[in-house]
Amino acid sequence: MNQGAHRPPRMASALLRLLLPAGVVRDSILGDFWEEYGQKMAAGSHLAAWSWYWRQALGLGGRSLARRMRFWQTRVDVEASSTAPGEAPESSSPLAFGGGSNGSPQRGNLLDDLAIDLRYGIRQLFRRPAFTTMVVLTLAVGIGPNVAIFSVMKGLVLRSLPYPEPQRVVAIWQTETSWRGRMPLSTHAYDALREGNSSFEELGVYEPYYFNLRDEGEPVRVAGVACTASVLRALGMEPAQGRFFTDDEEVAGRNQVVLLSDGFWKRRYAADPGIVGKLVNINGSDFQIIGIMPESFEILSPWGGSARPDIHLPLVLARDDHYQAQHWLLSLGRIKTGVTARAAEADIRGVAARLAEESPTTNARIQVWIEPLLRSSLGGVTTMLVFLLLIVGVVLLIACANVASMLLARGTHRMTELAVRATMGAGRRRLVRQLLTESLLLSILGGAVAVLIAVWGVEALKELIPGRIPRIEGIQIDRWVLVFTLVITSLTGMIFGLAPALFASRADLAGALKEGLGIESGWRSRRRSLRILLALQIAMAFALVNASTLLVVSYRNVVMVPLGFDGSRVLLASIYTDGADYRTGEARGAFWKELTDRVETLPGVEIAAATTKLPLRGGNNGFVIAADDAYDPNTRGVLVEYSWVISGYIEAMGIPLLEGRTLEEGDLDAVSTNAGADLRVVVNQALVDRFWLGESGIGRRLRQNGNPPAFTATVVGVVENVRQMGLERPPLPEIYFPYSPITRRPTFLVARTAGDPNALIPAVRQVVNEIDSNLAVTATSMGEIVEAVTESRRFSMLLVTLFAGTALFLVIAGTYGIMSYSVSQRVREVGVRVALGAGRGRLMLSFLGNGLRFAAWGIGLGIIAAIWGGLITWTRVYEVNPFNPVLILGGALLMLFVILAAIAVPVYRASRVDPMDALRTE
Amino acid sequence: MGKQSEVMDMATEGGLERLEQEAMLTILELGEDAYAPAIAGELETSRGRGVSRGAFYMALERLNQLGMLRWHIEGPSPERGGYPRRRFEITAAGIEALKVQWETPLHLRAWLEELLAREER
Repeated sequence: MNQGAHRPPRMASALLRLLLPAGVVRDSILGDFWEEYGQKMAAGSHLAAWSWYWRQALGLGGRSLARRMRFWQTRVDVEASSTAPGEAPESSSPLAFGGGSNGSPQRGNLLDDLAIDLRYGIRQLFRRPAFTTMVVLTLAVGIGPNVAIFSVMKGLVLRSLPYPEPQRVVAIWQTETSWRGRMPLSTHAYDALREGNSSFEELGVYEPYYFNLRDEGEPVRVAGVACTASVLRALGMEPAQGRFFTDDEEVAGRNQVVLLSDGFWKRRYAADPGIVGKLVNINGSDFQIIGIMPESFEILSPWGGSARPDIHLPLVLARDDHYQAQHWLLSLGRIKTGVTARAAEADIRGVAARLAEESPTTNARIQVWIEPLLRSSLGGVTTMLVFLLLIVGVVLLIACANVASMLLARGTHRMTELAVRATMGAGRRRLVRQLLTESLLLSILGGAVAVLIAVWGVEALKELIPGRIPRIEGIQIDRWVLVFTLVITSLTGMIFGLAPALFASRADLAGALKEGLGIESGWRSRRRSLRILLALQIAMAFALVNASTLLVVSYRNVVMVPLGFDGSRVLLASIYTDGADYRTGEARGAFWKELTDRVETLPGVEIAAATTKLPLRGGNNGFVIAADDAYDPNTRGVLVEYSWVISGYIEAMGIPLLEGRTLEEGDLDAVSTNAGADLRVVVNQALVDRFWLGESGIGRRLRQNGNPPAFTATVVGVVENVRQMGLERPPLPEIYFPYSPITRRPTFLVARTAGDPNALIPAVRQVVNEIDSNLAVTATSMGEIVEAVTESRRFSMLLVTLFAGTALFLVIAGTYGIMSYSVSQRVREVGVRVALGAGRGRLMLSFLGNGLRFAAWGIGLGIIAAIWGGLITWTRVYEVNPFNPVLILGGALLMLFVILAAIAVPVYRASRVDPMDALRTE
Repeated sequence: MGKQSEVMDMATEGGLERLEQEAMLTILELGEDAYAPAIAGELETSRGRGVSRGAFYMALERLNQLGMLRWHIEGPSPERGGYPRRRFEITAAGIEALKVQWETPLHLRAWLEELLAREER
């Protein structure tokens, strides 16, 4: 179709096209509108033309639709009043317009049928408001959680990264094993990959960090990223204001430039338009603000935290031997156009192999691999969300089965109506379409209420989601979520509507009425269908309840895990001594000495110390061998966690001493600042068991697995195992080194208090401020750290339990409803049997037996579903067997008890039926 | 004859709507140029106000169904987005209906004048 100079509004055209009957008349009218619209646009007023078009399109379309609905209503009324079937009133036509020739009658289109089905369906819904409300609420409870979880998935996982061609941006990892471990790059490896690759447009490294920022306001600790300029180029975005830093500015002395995030610029500086060029003090040095990041900019870290750090700084890489080999650099790169990810990975693997040959001392076993950046940052979040989607999908199926049962049960009342329509000439397809339209109407209403539930649910989820998960700010109900709602609503309507529609419209409908069997014969087969639906609901609910039980037990097992320390009454303060005043080891050592001494004098503080690594937050490690063993480059040694601690740390953290002594002040003074130092260390029992099982560890010697070794050490004490990598991974061997001033690692103040540690936070801030007012302090308690570690597991446990509870409620309501209805259909039978002398107790048992029979089927199916569900939840449980027969049988008994309770009330009511009333009613 | 008597019945019992009459006259006036946009434009000019296209097309369709109007399809053009257009013309039955439509008020007017004259006498 040729385009005129002025194309009319597309939506209005599409609406007109939809509402007018198809044919040449419609086409000519559309052409008339197009022509007149063009004339009005040419006359000058675009708004007037646009407004005219919409007004006229709605007017004409509305008249056309109203006229056709009047026609079909007339036709239905004629059919209902037994006019000869198929005859239409002569004077009217369903179509306002002719089609292929002047004035000849045209065939109706789908829209005509839909119009009458909708009108009829809406009338049916309003005829039974209580039933409609119940169905709509049931559907809303089923659809709402699906929409909410999908919103979360859309915001976290499905929403693409805001970079151009994000599929070409990948994370690069280093590993020293055959499996794909995620180890950050060393400086050595980064240099080699950057210079030796031929597959990447850009390749850079970055490190999330916290910085002390001071401007005209109070010093504040901000989240930031130190990165190479190549990282920003790899991401492919442009600054909203100013410029990004360059490669030349990655050198000490020229690196005092900083970029602000859009959010930080708005929050801290009220979107000051003149901010670029101003100075801020970061870690004691002045930095010039050179630009503002785009609002949508994200940089993800697999260590968690916000994807939108407040500031970005150039990363100055230390190139001394000590740091060249440290694995601490996150890396990403943009693959060249036309190069596949596999080819890019093969390319950098080749570079790594050459590096291993060139420097076997530090890189003998180096391997590298790549993965999509989003996947590397979200970790297990995707799996958890898919699991939750599966759970809520089952809840929706239960809701569908519930509603299908209600529709089936209600089908009795409509048999007469449907039979009359059948005899009037309505074919089965027509009846099915009518009933499906009603089902779709119900599901659309349910979907609308579900969106309201989802809006509330999404806000609640955003509060509950563990804070370390990035991109939470992107979770919202947007148009794609609404499209998902529409799709799932339509599918829901088809699922729960089809069976009752097919059943109600069966071919022998009219025949059954003629023979007078009608309702009775329909009811028996309907009862069977109801029982099957109920059994399926019970099975699915049982599977969910079992999954919930496993997660609850797992959570309990996790929180009962022995920590290896006493985290109650322990205050923690994170203080970053990275500024110009702390460049030397002496300065850092002096600060921490003064800080711990002064904090220890505060009222309420029992002991104060410091550490570079907190319990439950491991990842600072290296390879160690026994000192007597000869160095072998082909042997990795034992992976051991490292902590550098100021004396008193072990007492402050409440770690039980098992043998020997803890570290003392003298151990700190004896530390050499050179490589190859001979240290006195404390180790944990796991290390002793690893090297000298069944023997004492005191006096034993270890060394770092290097040539020459970075250190040798003598064990002076053995302490209890402390969990390092969260609560669920067994403790690794660990070495506690005396705090060395040469270390530049982040350091935490640790203070054991007499009372609530949070009450002493202001006093600690005051002490820090008195020593150095440029330092920002972030304080918390060890108890909160422990809580945070279980946050993710607690989150999924709570949700699954909520959904399992919802499923159970639906099943109870469904069972009660169906049983009540079933009993009400047998009132006459009960009356007759009681009148003939049957005992009420025996009647109750009979009803109970019938009810429990299908419940048993459902529980039997549920056990199978629970076993299958166990395969899915296998990776999510902790120290519990998902196929534990005790748990499964316990769940079965619980379901049986719940169903029995749901059945009991209607059964008891049935047994109280007065036979005279029952017979009189009939 | 049947169709004509139907037309006459309609003319006497309910008659053509004013819009329908005006549309028919406009079509007669436009002759070979009687396309819907031109007809609607002329109506708006003569009325001095806008014409609802819904009422307008409904009127044309009703006239078509009654056999008072016919249309011919002409080819598409870019100015119309590639859509075809219809040229309208009034049938003989339509002209007859118009005549009947006006004869009735004339007849009634004559009757009224006679009644008034009787009273004066």
